[in-house]
Amino acid sequence: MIFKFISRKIKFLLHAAKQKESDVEKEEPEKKEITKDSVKKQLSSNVSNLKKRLSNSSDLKIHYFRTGKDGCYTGALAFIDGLVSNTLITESILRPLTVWEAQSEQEPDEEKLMDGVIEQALCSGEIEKILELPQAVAGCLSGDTVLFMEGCASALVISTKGWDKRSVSEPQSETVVRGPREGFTENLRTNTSLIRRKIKSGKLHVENMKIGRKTQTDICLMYLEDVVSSDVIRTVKSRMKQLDVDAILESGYIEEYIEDAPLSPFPTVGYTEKPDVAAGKILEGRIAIIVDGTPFVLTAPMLFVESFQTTEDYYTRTIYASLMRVTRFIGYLITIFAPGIYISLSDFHQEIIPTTLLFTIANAREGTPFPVFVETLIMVFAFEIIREAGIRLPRPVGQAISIVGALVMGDAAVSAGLVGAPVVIVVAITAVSAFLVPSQSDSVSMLRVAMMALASFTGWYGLAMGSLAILLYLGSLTSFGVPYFDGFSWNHNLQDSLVRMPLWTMVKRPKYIAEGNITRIGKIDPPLRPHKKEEGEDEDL
Amino acid sequence: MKKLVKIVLLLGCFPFLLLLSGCWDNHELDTLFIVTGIGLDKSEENNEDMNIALQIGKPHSESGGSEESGASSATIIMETKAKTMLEGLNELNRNSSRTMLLPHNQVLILGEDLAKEGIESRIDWFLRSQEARLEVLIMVAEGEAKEVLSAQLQQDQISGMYISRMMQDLSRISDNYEFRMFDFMSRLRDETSSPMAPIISVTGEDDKKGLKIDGLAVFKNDKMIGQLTADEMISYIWSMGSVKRCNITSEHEKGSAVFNIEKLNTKRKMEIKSDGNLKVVFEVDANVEIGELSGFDGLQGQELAATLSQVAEDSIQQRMQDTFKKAQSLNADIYEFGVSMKRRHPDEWEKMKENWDEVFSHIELDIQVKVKLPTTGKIVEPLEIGEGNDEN
Repeated sequence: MIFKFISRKIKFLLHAAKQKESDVEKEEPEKKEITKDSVKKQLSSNVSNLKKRLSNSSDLKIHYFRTGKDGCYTGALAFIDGLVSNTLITESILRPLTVWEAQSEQEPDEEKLMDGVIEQALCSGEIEKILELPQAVAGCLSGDTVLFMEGCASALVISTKGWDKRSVSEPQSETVVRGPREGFTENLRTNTSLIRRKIKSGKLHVENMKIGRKTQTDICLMYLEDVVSSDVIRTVKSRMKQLDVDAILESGYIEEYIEDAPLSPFPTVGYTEKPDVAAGKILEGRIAIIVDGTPFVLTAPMLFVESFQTTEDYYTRTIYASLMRVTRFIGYLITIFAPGIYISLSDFHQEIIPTTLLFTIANAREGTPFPVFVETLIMVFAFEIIREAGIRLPRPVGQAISIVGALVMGDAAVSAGLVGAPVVIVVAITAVSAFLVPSQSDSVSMLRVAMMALASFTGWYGLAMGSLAILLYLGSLTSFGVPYFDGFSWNHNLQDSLVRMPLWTMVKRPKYIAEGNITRIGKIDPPLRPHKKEEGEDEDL
Repeated sequence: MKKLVKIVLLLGCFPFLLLLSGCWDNHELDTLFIVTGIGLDKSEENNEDMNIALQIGKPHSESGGSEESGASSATIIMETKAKTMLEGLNELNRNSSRTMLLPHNQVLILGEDLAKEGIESRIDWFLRSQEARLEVLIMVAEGEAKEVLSAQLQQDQISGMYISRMMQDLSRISDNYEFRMFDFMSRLRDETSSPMAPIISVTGEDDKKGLKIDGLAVFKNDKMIGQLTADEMISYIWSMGSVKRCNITSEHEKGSAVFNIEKLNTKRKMEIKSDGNLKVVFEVDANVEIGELSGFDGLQGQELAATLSQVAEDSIQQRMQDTFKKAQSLNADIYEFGVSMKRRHPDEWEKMKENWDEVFSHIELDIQVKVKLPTTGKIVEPLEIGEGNDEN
C-alpha cells in the first residue's frame, strides 16, 4: 500500500520534472539582436547608428577629424575609452592622417579613398575593412578603433587594444619549491604565449572561439596536432560548439558544461594556473582550454592519477618524488577513511584496539555526551567551517579565525568535555591529509562523511562496502571517453602512477591519452650506464 | 520509466537496509566495561556454585584535568555466584550500568581450591564464546583468585595488565613461558600430557602490593595435583626447548658462581630399551657467561674455564634431573613425552598408551649437558681485596 503510494508520488514528481524541462525547451533562445545593417555613405548616420547599437554608452568616444590636402575629407574615429591605447591611436592613426595628402584631388571615390587611407596613411599592422555595422560594434567592444569616412560605404577596424592587465606573477594556488614561478594571467594572449614559449613546435595547434551571447568570451584550445587523440578532440570541440549560453566568466563555467559527469564528486576536467603544468599536459596529448579573463586553464581529459601528480615530481629526484607520491596516496586514504575507521573501531570492533590504547580512548570518551559518530561529525563540520571562513575572509582576519579555531574548537571543546581528545586528533590528521591532494579535496570531504555514516551503521563491513562502491564508481567514470581509472591499469604504462619512475623509463606518452606520435624519448642510454656513442637521435619527437 | 521508478525505489530502500540492519552490534565505548581479568573461586557454601570475580579497568573522566590520586583503586571488582561462567556473566550484565567487554580480558585466574576440585566444567565457556580469546593467560592463585584481582598494586594499577606484561616479559626468555588458554586446553585434550599453569601470589602489604609467580601448578586431567617450585619451573622451562638469557647459581667446593645462560637448547631423543621401558635423552647445549664469581683460588685461565664449565654442566643437569624426579613422583607427564612418543613411534605408542602412567614412572632420563664458556665477563679472576695495588 505504502509502496504503491510512494511509487505514485515518484511518478508524479518525475512527470513534473519532465514538464518543466519541456517548458524550458519551448522558451525561444534570445533572438539575435543584431540584424544585418551595412555601413552607409553618410558619416553622421553611421556614427549615430553605432551609438544606438552601443546603447548610447558614455564611454564610446567619437573623434571627428579632417584629412587630405587642405582637409578636404572628413572622417570619424570611434572607440571605447579604456579598452584602447591612446598613444596607439595618436601615433598610428591620427598623426599619419593629419599629415596625409591624398593623391587625387577629385571627388572622393569611396573605394579608392579607403584603400588610400589603408595603404598610404595608416601605420598599423592589423587593419580590417568592413562593410557591416555589427562588425564595427564587435570591433569597438574588443578594443579596436573604427574609422568612418564621409562618403564611403565601408569602415576600417584598426587594432588598438590596450587595457590594463596584471603582469605574469607567481600563482597563489600552486606554489613550488623548485620549478618555474610564472603563472597564467587573466589575459588570453599572454597565456597562449606562455604555453607557446614552452612548446616551440609547429604542431602546437591553437584554435580560437567565442562563447557567450553577452560576454563574447574568447576561448582558445591548444593541443599538439600529432599527439592528441582524435576522439577526445572531436568530443571537446563538439561539446564546446554546442554551448549557447549567456556568459562565460571563468573556466569553471566551461568545465561544468563539457564535463562527462557534472554531478560526480570527482573532477573529470583538470585545471592549472601554471604554464609548465599546462605544457606538460599538452605534451602528454591533452587539450588545454584557455578562457579569457581567468588564470585557470582547463586540461582535458583528466584522469584520477593526475590528482596525485604534481609538477615538482618531475623536477625533483625520482626516489624522493616516488616517496612523496606514495605519501599522497596514503594521505588520500587517510583523509577519506580515518574518521570512519575511528568510528568503526570504537563502536564495533573494540577487540582489535590494543588494550592500553583502548583504555586511553575509553578514558577520553568518558563523560562525553554524544555518540562517536555525532562527535566526529561535529568536529569535521567545525573544520569545514573554519576552512571556509579562512578562505573567504580578508587576510588579516584570517589569522583571528585560525586562533579561534585552534583554541576554541580544539582545546576548549576537549577540556569542556564536549568531545574526546582522540576525535580531535583524528579530525586534525584527516584535515591536514586532505591538502596533500588539492584537486580531490572537494570529493574527499563528501566521501569522508559518507564513510563515517557507513562506519557508524555497520563498522568495518560498511567501510568495506563503501570503499567497494567508490572503486566501482571510479571504474565507471570517464573523462571525454577516457576511463577515469586508466593509468592504474596493468596493460598501460605504469611508470607514472603509484610511483614516479625515472624519466628515461617513460619512453612512450601515456597510451590511454596520446595517439599517433607516441614516442617521446629517442634512443638513449639510461644514465645508469656511461654513454657509448651518439647515434641516430631525434626521430622527430 | 517503470524501470526508473523501480531503481529509485530500490535506492530509496537502501538507507533502510543500513539503518535497520545496522546498529545491533554497536556499543559506544562509554557503555562498556573493559574486563581485564576474570577470577574463579570455589564457593564456601555449596559445591555447585562458584564465585566469579570480574576485574574492570575503571574508566575515569579526563575532562577534570587533574591526575587522580592513588586513594581510590583503578579497578572495579564485580562479583557474583553462579553455577557456570555464562550464568554469572549474564547476571553481572543485568545488574550493572554497562556491558562487559570481554575480548580484552588478559588473564583467567583460578582459585587454588577450585583448581584442586576440577575445572573442566567451569571453563567450557572460555573455549566456546566468541568474545573470550584463547590467548588469555591462565593462572592459579595461591589462595583466592579474587585477592589477586583486587590487590592494590604499586606498579601497574590493574593487576590484569600487570600479569600480562609480566608474562610478556618472561616470554622473551623462552617461548615456553607462555601459559595460555590454548596451550592449557590442548594439553587437557591430550590423553597423557599434564596441563600447567603458573601459580601467582600476592606479596607485600596494604596498598604496596606486588605479584609474584611462585612456581607451576601441575594438573592431571582437570585437577590440580601438585606444584613445582619457582626453581623447578625454570629448569622445566630449560628442558622444553630453547631459552635465552637466564641465570643459574652453582655451588662448588672451591667457591660459588652465578652463570648467565646466554642461550640454551635442549633436544630430546627417545629410545625404547630392551626391557620395554622408555629412555629419554636430553641433549642440552648451553652458552654461558660468568655472571658472578667468588672463591676458586689458585685456578688460572684454561684450568679455571674448564672447572667452571664442568660446574655449570653439573648444576644444570642436577636441576633438570630433580625436576624430572618431581614430575615422576606426581606421575604427571609435564614434558609431553606421550606426545613425542606418539609422533616418533606411533606403533609402540598404541601399545603404551593404555598404561602410560606406568610407563612414565619408569622412564629413564639421561641428561647430557654441553656448556660453552666463551667469555668471562669484563674481568677474568674474582675480585681479591687488598692485593691489587701492591706493586705501585
